[in-house]
Amino acid sequence: MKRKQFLILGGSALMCVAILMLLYAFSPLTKKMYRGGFERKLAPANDMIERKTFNLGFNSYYIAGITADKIYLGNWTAPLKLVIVNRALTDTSEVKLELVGLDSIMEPGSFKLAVDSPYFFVSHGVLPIILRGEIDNWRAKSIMPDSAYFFVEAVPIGGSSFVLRSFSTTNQGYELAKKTTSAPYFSFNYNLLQKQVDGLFCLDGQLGYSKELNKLVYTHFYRNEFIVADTNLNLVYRGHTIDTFSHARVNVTHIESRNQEMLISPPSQINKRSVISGKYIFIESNLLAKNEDVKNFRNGSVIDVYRLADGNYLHSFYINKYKDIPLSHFSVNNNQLVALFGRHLVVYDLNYKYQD
Amino acid sequence: MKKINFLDVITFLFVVLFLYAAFGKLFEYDLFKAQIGKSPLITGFADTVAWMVPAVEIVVAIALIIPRLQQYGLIASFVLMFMFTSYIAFILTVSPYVPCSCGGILNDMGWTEHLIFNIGFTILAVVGIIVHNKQEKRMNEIVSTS
Repeated sequence: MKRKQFLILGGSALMCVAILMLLYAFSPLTKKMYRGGFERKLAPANDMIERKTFNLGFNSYYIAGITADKIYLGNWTAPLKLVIVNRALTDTSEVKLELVGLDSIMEPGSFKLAVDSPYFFVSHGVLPIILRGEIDNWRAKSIMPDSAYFFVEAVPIGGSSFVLRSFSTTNQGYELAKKTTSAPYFSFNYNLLQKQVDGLFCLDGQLGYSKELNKLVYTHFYRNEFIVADTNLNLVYRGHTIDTFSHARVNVTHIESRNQEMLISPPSQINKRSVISGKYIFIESNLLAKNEDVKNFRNGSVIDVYRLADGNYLHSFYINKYKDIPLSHFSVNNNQLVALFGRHLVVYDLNYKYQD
Repeated sequence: MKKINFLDVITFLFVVLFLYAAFGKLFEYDLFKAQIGKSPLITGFADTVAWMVPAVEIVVAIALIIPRLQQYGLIASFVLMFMFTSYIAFILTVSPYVPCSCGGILNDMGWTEHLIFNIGFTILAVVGIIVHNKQEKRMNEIVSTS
């Protein structure tokens, strides 16, 4: 190769690297992590003690239900597979669910299993279908009369009703609805979700149900609000998480060529996951507090706890990464915290009694 | 009929690659712009990068086709491929998340596969320059001895 060419190639290669380093230096990646304008009350670290661990072999499980003696695990890639582990993590069994009337598994990732004694439910928002069966029998039949009630999320309340998050064409955004086995089979409640930006991303969140309080809770992902409603979808109150983002942090653009809505800013989720246990809600937050140590925040997930009776903030604690794997799912039950980190199921004893 | 030589094959591959990539981006321009806007390295300059990348790809493709400019086209192909490859390597190393900003079949590849694909083409560009030099030398010898 000619010397002049070699110099040009080498020089431009160096310039490419220099440009990338410049872009990196000016990018948000090198800025110090954003601190929210709020403080956390951190529970002592030894409030949570690791008790037992179990390697599930696959990382595609989620917690579908939990009782005083059993943990029920659903699987995203194998929707008919249910794994039952005892609370001591010494005994596991695998069950193959029978879904009556379903000949093929369409979009396996859209199936969601929920185990709520004495029933278990399997829902699929795209088909759409909701099936119910009895625990220990493991054979589910469709319980909702066929109709077009597509949904993104579904939570069973009692044995024969569901609360759904669906897209409303009237309001061009997500709304919560109730689905029952008797008339009126499907009804939206338009007073709960309030559109701020686009009705989709700005309202994205997670539905949950508290059996002890018989209340529905909807936690927004992109703003600091969680909605508490009764089982008829009447608003009880709007709770606020401790951060200060009351307006949804989303920049959405419309992609004409594909008729899609797309987020154009880098991810800005405030609340990641919310788990309800008894009269408390545990929200995994994505925001660093004013008084928090960045190292602790980066080392795991910070969970903010609120009392559902009045929405008051109780305290926060960390669920640290397990073997450097971040938290994928968790549940709180009977003074224990059960968590999934990739393939690992870990049970912790909790010092604080989340009783009432 | 003119014999198809190795250099022609290399040039052809690059022309196809760049034109396919450029028109793929231009065809769904709003989608491309939105996707690169999510990249932590580009997020401030998305508007500029969005038109500049396909424009450069087309210019380089044209340079590769015109015989007099082929040498520069090959050098430019190397620089372009090196830039894309370094960008992917950078993102995979420093970014906490990976945005998507490619098109067509390139979209179906995972990021690791895409990195390997790019490294392959970067090396191919260097090979192209070397083969072009050899050919030019041979042509000069033929001319000087006739």
